[in-house]
Amino acid sequence: MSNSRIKGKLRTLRCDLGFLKRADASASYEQGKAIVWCSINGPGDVMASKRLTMKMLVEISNRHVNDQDTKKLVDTLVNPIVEHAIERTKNPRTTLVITLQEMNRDGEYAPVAINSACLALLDAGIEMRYIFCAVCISYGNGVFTVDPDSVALSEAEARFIFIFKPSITDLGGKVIGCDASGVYTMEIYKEALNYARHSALKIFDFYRVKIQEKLAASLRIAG
Amino acid sequence: METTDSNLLSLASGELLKKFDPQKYFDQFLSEGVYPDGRPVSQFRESNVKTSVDRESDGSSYVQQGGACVSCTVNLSVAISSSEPGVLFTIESLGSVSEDLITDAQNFLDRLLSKNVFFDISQLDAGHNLRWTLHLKIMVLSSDGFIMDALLTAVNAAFMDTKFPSVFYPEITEEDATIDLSKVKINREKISRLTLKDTPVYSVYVLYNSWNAADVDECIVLCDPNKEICELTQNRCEIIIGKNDLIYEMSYAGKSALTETILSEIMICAKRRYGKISEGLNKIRAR
Repeated sequence: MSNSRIKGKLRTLRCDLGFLKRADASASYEQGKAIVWCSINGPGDVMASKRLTMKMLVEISNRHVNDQDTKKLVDTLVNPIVEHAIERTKNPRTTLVITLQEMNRDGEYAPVAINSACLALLDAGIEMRYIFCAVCISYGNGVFTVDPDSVALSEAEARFIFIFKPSITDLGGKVIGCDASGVYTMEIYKEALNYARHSALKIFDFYRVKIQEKLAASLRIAG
Repeated sequence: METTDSNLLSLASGELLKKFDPQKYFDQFLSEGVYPDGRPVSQFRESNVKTSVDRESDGSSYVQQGGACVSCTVNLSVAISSSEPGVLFTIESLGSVSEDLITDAQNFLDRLLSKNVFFDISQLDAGHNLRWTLHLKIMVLSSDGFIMDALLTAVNAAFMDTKFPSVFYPEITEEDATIDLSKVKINREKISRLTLKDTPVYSVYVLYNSWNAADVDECIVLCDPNKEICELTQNRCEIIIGKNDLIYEMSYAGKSALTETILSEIMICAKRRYGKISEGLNKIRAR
């Protein structure tokens, strides 16, 4: 693996917070040409039949996800990661409705959706156990590609999605989720993880900048 | 009489604790490194594999692994060579098995077959511009949270058991001549078997946080957990491993971090599991 090369870098990140006026919080997140919108409503009232006595009910829906592979990722990765991050005991007997809508696909849907959800949750001010971010790495012909688009993904032998939460001790963060598909060895996995860690740092920095911009704008209005 | 009454009482209190506070009930055992039935957390449940259970089909297997029972039958059909998939499968289940498990299993199997992990697709070539197609019928009879481990073992065993008769086409054909399938003759006395490239093995692990754990990332790795334990914690890691330490699928999502130490422990258990299942399947084939 010492001869493996890395190509590509994290695509340009863009985000617009609170762009949906009718939602309590929202984020339009772009990663290169991939765009996912996330809207959050709540915590709000919930029907008695669905009410949870000790914690908040979190309902996550992913719109227009049609292919089986993406549906599987949504069920095993996107929804559990978003749900686990929220501190649900703080608002019992309420509901939080999170809607993720894919506007444009260019690469994997799951990492873009996860990052969009985290930004929307930060915009909403929902108490979270930790913030989180997702990075996709592909591997093919001895070369790793960071944040591959659809073309690079179609040529890959293996595809890795890593989800991180911030950590003081681990570079990039601690791994709280991963989905690795293809034909690979543990050495390839570890090398992909190493590249993903560097990208995760940049995404967490991006979150910081975006929230600072939002809060600075709010302070200007208040001031 | 008193001894029987006190035994019944202690049994009842154990069941009551399990019902009202399952976390505390299981924590007593798991923090000591064992499941309530006495099985160590690093040990998998026993597997029972039988082949040639259905004499009518060209290959079949029945697997009982943990709480899951799966049967798999293979039927062959011959057709003109084309780019269509060489292996077609359906997964059916009895009512008690959840639809989500079946959908997951279909996705996993689809991806493994598309990677040609089991055998070289050129082995389906029957000669005379003809090709075999394998029709797998997988029936999930029961489950205990997971079915993919038993299902994959059943598919591996069924492939090993499949007997290919020889095909004879009486007229000499040119490459682009039309083949009349009604003239194809099958000789069931001369059979051959598939040479499998790999027998991928699925295993599932849960990262359990004890009540007393100081840190949410301090976890115990539980091998082959049952349904009740999976409901306690959402930290689940699934892995499909092949020979020469190749990994075909791996997924994890949870609250606790998947550290390098935990991942190494999971890989050791997965490789050990692969070794045992492969050895067992090779013994069955050798009989």
